[in-house]
Amino acid sequence: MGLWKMRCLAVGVAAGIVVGLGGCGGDKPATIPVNAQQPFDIVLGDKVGLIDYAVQRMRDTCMQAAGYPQNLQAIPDRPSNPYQSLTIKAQDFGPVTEDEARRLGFGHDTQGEPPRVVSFDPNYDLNLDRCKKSAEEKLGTDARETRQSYNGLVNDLLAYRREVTDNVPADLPEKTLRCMESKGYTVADRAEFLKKPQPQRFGVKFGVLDSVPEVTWTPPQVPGTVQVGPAIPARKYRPTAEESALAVAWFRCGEETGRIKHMVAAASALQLRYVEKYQDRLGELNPKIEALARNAAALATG
Amino acid sequence: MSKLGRMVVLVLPLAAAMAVAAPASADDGDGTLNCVNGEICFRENANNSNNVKHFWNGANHWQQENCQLCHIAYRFTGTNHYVMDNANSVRNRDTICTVTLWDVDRYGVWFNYANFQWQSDSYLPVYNVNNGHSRCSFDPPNGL
Repeated sequence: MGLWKMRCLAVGVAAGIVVGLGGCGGDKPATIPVNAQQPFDIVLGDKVGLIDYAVQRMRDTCMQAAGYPQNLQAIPDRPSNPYQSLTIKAQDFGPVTEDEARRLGFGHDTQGEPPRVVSFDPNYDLNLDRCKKSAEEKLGTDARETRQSYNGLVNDLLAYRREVTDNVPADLPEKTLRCMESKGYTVADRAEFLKKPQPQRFGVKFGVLDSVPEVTWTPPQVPGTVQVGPAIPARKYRPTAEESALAVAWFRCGEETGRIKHMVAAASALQLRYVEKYQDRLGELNPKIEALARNAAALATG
Repeated sequence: MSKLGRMVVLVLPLAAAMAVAAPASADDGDGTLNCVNGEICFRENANNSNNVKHFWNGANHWQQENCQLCHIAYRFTGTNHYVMDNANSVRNRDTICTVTLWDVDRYGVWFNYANFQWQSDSYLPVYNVNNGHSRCSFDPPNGL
């Protein structure tokens, strides 16, 4: 890890500050100060990742023994938090540096995806259910129900995000439009823009992700077989030149209006409210997830 | 975003006409109405509807190629009903990946609003605002 990334990480951990990946990925640091509380840190995403990893690995070891090695060869080789989007990040609301706006427009490069394993084999299907059930029972009799309940709870918590844009200053769309007009960008319908202040409304053509054939894989449907599609590689987002220019103007107007700061503050306040609203379920399920994660860790090292 | 797609189709009849004329989307799962191992399955938001749409892959339900604000693809199988903003339950039978669902906010920003673990036993309820889905990824399906 380079010095800049280490410094980013240290600052973030020490102060509860989430700095955009752009700021830690080689760009200049974000110029938008973000000091977000993270109320959803109460959600045990890392522990859920550990549980899922353990269940999947035990399931797929069982599948291999039944003559189906495909899943074990395809699953990720380490646990990952499936609830990463609960963390409030400035870059989730638009480009956070001018360099990033110029380089990526409004887009992001994407990470890759593991292979797809799909079944046209009833015997595989029976074994997959059997092996998952057996793996879950090794963690605990309540593993499946607890895991499913927790996912439902997290989906309920995620509803906060839909409210964010209704909890920023009411004059933000108008200020944004005035600023963009001062930079030469106009919209066909001002009233519509004030309702939906979206950069896509300036008539600028946006870019695309690199096209790769792996994305559109479809399996040959041969009865009695299990088909494995290729992994999807990481892809670059290629903004158009007009999109990059628009994104730079949008970023500058965002600094002038405080758009991202308002979004982050609203997100943080809403998350607090949702934690209060769902505190009983969090209080009930978090200890169960902790217990399952302890079992998962013991099985991983045992 | 739940109303935007419908509204734009209304104000952009050409786009709507293009949508009707668009060929069937390539990703239809196995083409049957059963949700099988490997498929990501959406069920329509309608009383007593059994309409479904299945995918093998991630997808942007809000197509943007050459059309910033209209969607031209992905309908429930055998219908002309859009998947976008019309699904109230999801069954993720991907055998490897958690699936993340995406909506677009008032400011045009994509955000993750629900997740479904791999190898789900049943359809599970979801808020009816889908604009896309991704596999094993916290990136929206179109990179925005």
